[in-house]
Amino acid sequence: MTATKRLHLFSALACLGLFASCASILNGGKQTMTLDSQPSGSTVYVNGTEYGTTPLNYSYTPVDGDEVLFELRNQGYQSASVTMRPKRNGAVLFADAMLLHIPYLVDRNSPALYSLPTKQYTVNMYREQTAEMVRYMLPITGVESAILRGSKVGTFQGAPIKLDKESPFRELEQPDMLASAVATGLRGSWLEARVTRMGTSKGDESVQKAKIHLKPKLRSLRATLTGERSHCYGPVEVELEWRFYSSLRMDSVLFSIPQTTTYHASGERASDVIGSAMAHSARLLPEESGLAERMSEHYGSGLALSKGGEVSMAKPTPIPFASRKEMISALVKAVVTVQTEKGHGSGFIVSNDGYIISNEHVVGKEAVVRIKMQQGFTLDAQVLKTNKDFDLALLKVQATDLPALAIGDDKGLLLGEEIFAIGTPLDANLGQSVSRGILSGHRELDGRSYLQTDVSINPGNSGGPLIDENGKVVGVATMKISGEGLEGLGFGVPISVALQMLNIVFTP
Amino acid sequence: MKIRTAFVLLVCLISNAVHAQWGVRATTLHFEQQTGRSGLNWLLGLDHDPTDRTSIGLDFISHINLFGETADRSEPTEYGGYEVLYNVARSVKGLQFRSTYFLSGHGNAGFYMGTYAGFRSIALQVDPNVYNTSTVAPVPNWARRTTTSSMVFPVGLRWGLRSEMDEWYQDIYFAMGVQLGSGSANATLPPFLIAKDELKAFSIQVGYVLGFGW
Repeated sequence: MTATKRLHLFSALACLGLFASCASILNGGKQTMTLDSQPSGSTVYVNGTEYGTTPLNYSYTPVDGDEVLFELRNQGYQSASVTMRPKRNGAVLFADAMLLHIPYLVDRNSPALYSLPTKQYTVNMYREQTAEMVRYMLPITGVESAILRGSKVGTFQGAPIKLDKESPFRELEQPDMLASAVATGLRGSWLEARVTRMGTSKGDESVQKAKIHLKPKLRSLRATLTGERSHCYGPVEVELEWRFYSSLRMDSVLFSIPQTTTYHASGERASDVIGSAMAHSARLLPEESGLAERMSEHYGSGLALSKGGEVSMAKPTPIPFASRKEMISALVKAVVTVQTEKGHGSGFIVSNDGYIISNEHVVGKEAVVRIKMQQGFTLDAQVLKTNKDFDLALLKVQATDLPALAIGDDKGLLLGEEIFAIGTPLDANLGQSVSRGILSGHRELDGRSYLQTDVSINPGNSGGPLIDENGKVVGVATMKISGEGLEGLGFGVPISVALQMLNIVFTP
Repeated sequence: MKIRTAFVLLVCLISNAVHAQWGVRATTLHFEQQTGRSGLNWLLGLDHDPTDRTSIGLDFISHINLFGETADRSEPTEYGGYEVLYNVARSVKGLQFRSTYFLSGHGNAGFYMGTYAGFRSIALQVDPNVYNTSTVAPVPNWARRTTTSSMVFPVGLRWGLRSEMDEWYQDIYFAMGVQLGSGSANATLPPFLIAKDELKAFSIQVGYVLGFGW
């Protein structure tokens, strides 16, 4: 081999080596990253294959595909999955193109050609929810922010982020957006949060019904972001005070929970980071120890406040009946039809001097309703009080010596025991219709107790009594769940709850 | 040998690129002067985008003369004591590999920069007439019709603007570079040729092409 040929061969080999290492030189080893989870110790599956436990170092290889799926599992936490798309470095591709794609041919299967979007990635893990948690409605009536315009809220690529019009965090000045982010974070948890606007009839009604409403205060924010505005990464520390307000006493904070969380941005747009961080904090809120107990306590107090002042009445003299066969025929005398301008419902007399229990949705907002007795005559009744939370109403007619129902023991009712419903279904002329069923269950819905029964409850039956085998009233027929394929799903308020929530006290 | 090398290179590229679009392109508006004469060429090519920022292509280029002329006539020149006038006809065929990087990075469309490399097989048929007005002299033996085949290797940079290869696409481009081997090729040409008919050391390409992608 001549010296010239050797020189040519050496030059060709040197060029090939340069081309082959081009991607590695330009990319600088960005195909590895540290994967962690919050909390650590999660098992990581890469494209379905177990890879290790967090924190771990992940090295990308083209075998893992154009999109790498990381799934993290941890005992007691919901599994989380993240998809990461490695990209080819622009400088490497430029060098490829300028060198007629020869480096691309050489190293297209080399990890060095690819770069992962971040070197450090932390996955936020959330606790699994227990199925038996009582669920509470929680209106979010706004988010307050203690962060002033112009103040520094972190850094982006080392440059300070100031809260102004151009800031990626300008969402901080939009309370509605923050409230929506909180609602998003709480979605699916035992706190059924919904953004509610106070001052509207629907909003006020929703807040009243829930008894408690949430108005968190954002105290501080500290973000350390890297990447681009369209894809940024890094921790965002959020300090919040979760303030729970009483719906009945609007200005009073029932209790508050201070919370500091760290959200790890995972490639979202910079303008979305603040919303994601708020949602993350909200997702962690239901995990706060003692919150469920405090919610229960204050919700109960709220309910108690809605029962109004005490009403005393003489214990009724029970309607006499000789045998079980005669029982229902005797008891219908104490069941009435409640007529209003909008329609009719049912009710039953609980004292000989004219106190009648019915449903709130039967009387609506009317102050005086018409009562049609089984004996055929009609009286005016004054609506003394209503309890919207439990759908109860207490009426009073000016009369004495009326037949009244004896109060039974709803708590002692056993499953399968016979229950009779008496009422005026569909048409006012069908007054004192009787139907029979059994007790299907004692239920708790939205923090309220109900008797579930398969007895026929039809429109017009509402407010009528549910009577046990001994002829005593054990509940107030309130609602039925109807739909295609559904049958025999009726609900009544237990009589003990009805008396308590109307604040009725019997005197001997 | 060179065509086989180019074909192997193309097969390698095709086998390596999996997720990408393909397209075919054609034009009669590829301007490229191998010599100083008219430079309109046919171009028929294949495009391929192996990544979301880069593209490669292979073009077949052949000289045409749209105005029906078969040969150019030279200006009078002096050689060996004679006045020489000659007709020159050119035949050019070649392959060119293109490699492109899209500067805008939006789905393989927009402004790009790239490189090209290839070869041109150029045949020049020269038919001279000689005149000597001072003495009566025999026609010299160099003054006869000759056909010379040469090979040059154009290499250079390209800039252009291409649309996305989504069904119909278009590409407008400019390129400049060197024709490697032009010096040694010129040494084999008839010595009386004027500079205009010699192979150029530098060349430019300008063109507009339409294609269909899938």
